[in-house]
Amino acid sequence: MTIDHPGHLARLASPETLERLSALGLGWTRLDASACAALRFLREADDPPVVVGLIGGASSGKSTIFNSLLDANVSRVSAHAHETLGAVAAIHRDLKSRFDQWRDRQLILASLAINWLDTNQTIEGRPDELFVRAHDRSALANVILIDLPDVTSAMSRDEGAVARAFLPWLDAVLVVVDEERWFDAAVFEDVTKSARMLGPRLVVVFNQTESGEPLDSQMDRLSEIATRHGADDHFASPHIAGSGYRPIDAATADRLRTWVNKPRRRDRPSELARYVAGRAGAVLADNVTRSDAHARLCRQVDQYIATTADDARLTYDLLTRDERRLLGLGRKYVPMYDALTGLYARFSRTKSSAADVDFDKRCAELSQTLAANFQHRIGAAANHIDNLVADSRYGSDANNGDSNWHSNWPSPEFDAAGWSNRIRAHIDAWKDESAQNTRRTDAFGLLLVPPLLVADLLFLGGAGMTLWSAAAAGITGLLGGKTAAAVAQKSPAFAAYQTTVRNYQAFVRETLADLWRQNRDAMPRRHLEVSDPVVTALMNVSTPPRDRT
Amino acid sequence: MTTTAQQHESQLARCNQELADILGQSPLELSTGGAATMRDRLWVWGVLGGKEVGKSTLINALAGDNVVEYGDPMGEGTFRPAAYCSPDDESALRGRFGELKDIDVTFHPNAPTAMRGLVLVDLPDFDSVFADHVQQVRRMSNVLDGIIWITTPKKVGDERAIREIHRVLKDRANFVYVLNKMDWLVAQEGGDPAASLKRAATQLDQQAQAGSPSDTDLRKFLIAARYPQSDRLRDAIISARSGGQEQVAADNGSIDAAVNALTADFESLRTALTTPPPESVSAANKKANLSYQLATQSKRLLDYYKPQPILDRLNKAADIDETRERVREYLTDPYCTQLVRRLNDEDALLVDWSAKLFKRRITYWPLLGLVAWPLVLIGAMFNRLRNLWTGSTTAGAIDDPFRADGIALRERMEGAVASQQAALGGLAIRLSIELPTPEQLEQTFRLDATRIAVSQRQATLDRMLHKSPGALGRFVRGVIAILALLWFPIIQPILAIALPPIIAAWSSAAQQSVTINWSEFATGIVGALSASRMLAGLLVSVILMLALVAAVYSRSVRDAQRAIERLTASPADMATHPLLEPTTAALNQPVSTVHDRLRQVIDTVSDSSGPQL
Repeated sequence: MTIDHPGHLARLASPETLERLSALGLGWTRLDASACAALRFLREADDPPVVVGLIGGASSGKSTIFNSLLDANVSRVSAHAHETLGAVAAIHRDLKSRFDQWRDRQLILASLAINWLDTNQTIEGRPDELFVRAHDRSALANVILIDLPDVTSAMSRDEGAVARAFLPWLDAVLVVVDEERWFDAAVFEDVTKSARMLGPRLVVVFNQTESGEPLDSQMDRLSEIATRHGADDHFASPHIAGSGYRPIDAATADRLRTWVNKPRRRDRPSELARYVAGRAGAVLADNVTRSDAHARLCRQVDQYIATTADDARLTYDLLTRDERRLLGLGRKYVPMYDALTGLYARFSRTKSSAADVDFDKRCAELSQTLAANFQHRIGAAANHIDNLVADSRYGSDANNGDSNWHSNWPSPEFDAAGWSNRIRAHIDAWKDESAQNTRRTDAFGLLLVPPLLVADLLFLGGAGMTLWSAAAAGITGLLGGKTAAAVAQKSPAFAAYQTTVRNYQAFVRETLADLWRQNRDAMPRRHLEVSDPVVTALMNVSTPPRDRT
Repeated sequence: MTTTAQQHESQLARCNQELADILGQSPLELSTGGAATMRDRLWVWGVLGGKEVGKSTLINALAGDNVVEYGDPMGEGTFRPAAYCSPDDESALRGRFGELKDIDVTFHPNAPTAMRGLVLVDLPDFDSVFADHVQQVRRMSNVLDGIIWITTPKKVGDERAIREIHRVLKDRANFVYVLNKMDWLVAQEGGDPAASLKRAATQLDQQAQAGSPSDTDLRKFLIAARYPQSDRLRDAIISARSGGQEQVAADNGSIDAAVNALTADFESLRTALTTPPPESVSAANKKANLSYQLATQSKRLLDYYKPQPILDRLNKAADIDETRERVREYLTDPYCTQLVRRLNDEDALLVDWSAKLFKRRITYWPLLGLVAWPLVLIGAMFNRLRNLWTGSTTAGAIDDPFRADGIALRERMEGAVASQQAALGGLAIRLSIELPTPEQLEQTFRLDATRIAVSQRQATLDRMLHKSPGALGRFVRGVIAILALLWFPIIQPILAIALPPIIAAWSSAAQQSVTINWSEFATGIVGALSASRMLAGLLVSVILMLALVAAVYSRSVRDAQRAIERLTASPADMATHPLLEPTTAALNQPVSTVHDRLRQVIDTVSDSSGPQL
């Protein structure tokens, strides 16, 4: 498998990427970042040395073995638990210059501060630093040996994380266990399991810290335990009597040294690459799910805004029935009937004409209603969109289910007076149209009634007036009655009004869309855009290895 | 007392299930079963600790005998609990452990009779890769009376231990912290053993503090269980320090002091653990354990589900007044007023009501019906024709009465549902509260509003229709109607009889002579009763009756108009309450159901936190 652009690994290994991804909650851990860094190191460094790490429970003898392998008392050894707080490493003097070069190229352990030790001092280490001791032991010429903090204690939980973040760097892991931890769940289930995925050699060192039966007789049992935990090899380090720091048995130390010098597994880079690819793939899949949720949410909101804007109306629904009737709106038009009732209305006391309504006063009321309706529409949309956001679970953290983010819907400017004036203009147009219609029907009635009266007097002696009128009205009604829609279509005033309504709807749509755009941009991002370089890097890295050679 | 405790425990289990159900979480694994400890008089100590910390060693050391077989250090170790008791207590103990059906306890009934009533149980470890061990430990710990928490200098800081200690903690009087393998520490460290002891004690303190933070008076012991006797302990330490080669005489004094301290601690531990407590004390301690267990379990429940903030939010959303306020924001007062006006179509109402009123009123007038019914028929025909010709006066598609105030009803309902959801703040999904959809709300609102409008109209109309005149009124109406019909045929002959003599008397008074011309008088009577005169008289009667009918009709129209004005002019009481209520109830009901259920469960759990046993 080849990764075309090593820059992608560097990007994924960087603390900035780790910070960004963990801020998004995409599940990219420190371990993953250091896996990328380690993979980059293996690919780019010329003849990289073997990195060997000692991990294990508290007081299991990691530092003792470290010191014994170096033949020097470097790492702090104590019978009290959790003495090593940070990592301590040992590098051969000849390797130092290359190590420095790698440091300059930010290839190795770039996130840690390096502290070189030259004197024979004993140290405890610090969480964010790596203490490195240069040594002269030719047996460990091409090895970086690292003593890691324990992985079991609560009081050194952070240090446990330090040990974990080191795992990807290790070409070989020495799991050190004592009698009390031969089956320890924290060591074998929490740490060794995740270490195995990264492709190192895994060696269990059974360190006998209490006097008892010699371990030699138990070797087959120990090898069974080691095999059960997937170790490549295992060693028994017998108990050395005495107090204070005692190096481990010299024979065991020699055997361990030869083992430590073994080259790394051939397929270790590809195993590591496979791990990184798997993690990157998981993060990418999560990211895709989230960006899908985001896109769906945006689509839903756009749809909602379109529907709610289409539903926005101006005057028509705000007018009362009387007013609409007076303006001649939405009524079936029956020529004869209208002519007769119009004539009747002329002479009756009822409020018959649109001219009698005080539309100035009504327009003032209408502008208030319009403004209230507009605010109401914005408020309802805000609520609805908030719920859409909550339903999509995009804006919230999957872990606690609640979002700290709330949308903000400021009351937008609404020119109530302007719209009211426009309505007023339309009402005036309607009034004119209505007056025209009235004049027409009046004329029609005046033309029709006298001949009828004459015919009535001549043939029915005045008694047939009602019958005549009814017959005439019925006939014209059946022949010439028009639906309200037809009337509205023919009416230029109504057409103009409909244009204004469409303008108003467009205004509402744009206002809502604008407010939503602001909110969408303010909404905390929980996914990366496809164009993001980190996504490119993840995609590049997540391609599964084609060839294991 | 046992039953009370059992009730509390089963109540907690129920609450656990209920909370999991309501909140959609997986149920918490509760540690209950302490009620079983109340059933017998035994006092059962459990020795609990990580792997290879010396649990079995401690029991053997306390018993002074190899009662418990050592586990194979290369194998699983103690993989099932072993109980060490006196023979008399075995059956009672079996009874207590009987409930733990799938846990196989080994019994060693060979303790001395002095230990009668006291049991020591060796438990499996909790920190190895053998997953069933930790399960056994957790379940066993519930039916124990006291716990001996044992650890070693190497494991004293383990995170798993601190996690586990919270699970098995008993009332503090019944919890003992033991740091074993002190001989190893003293031998390893070299130097001054007193300093090692002090440091180890501090570390043990730290762990104990993590277990029971507020507890300052902890019972803790530093021991070397493998060497209970002081001389063997001293020998072991010295030989370990010297690497088994030669005796080191140095520091003998300080080693002696450390050995004495460790042995003394061990002795006091032995006394504490092997002397059966007096029955009253043990009963009180058991009770304390049980209350502690119930309290911790209910606290764990509340910690795990964290229902209080959810309840607070539900409380706000479930408040009926607040819900009504939220609904009111969308079904505003002006909207309801306008809606009622539109629903009560005034034109149609006026026609309908005045007709009904007229029909009813005309029945109180005898005889007027004869004239009125043809008129009513003609009017009905006219109305029907008019409706036929004009069709509906407005086009339905754009004139939905529910669209009053310019916003569609669906949109209002969407707003109301959204606002209720916003008040729930994401809880609707989490608690799967099914709020009604805007469509449902709209449908029911339409039906309800129409029904309310109709019933209000009907009530007003009924009130008017039920006003009937009293007996006097009917009598007066009857007299007037009869007079209107018959006054002329009655009065005419009377006048014909009475008038001529009066006229004659008046004229004779003027002429001083009175003569009655009887033939003229008879002719007058016949003339008055003649058909044409009677017809003319009846015509006048009919005209009078028509006038009466017109008066009744106009009064009916006037009254109908007034009633309609009253109906539409004062919609306030009608618009807010009956129109809002169904929607409010529909939005509130699913929330308040969940809220009430949750509150009930939380109250029950809180009651269990300090039960009176």
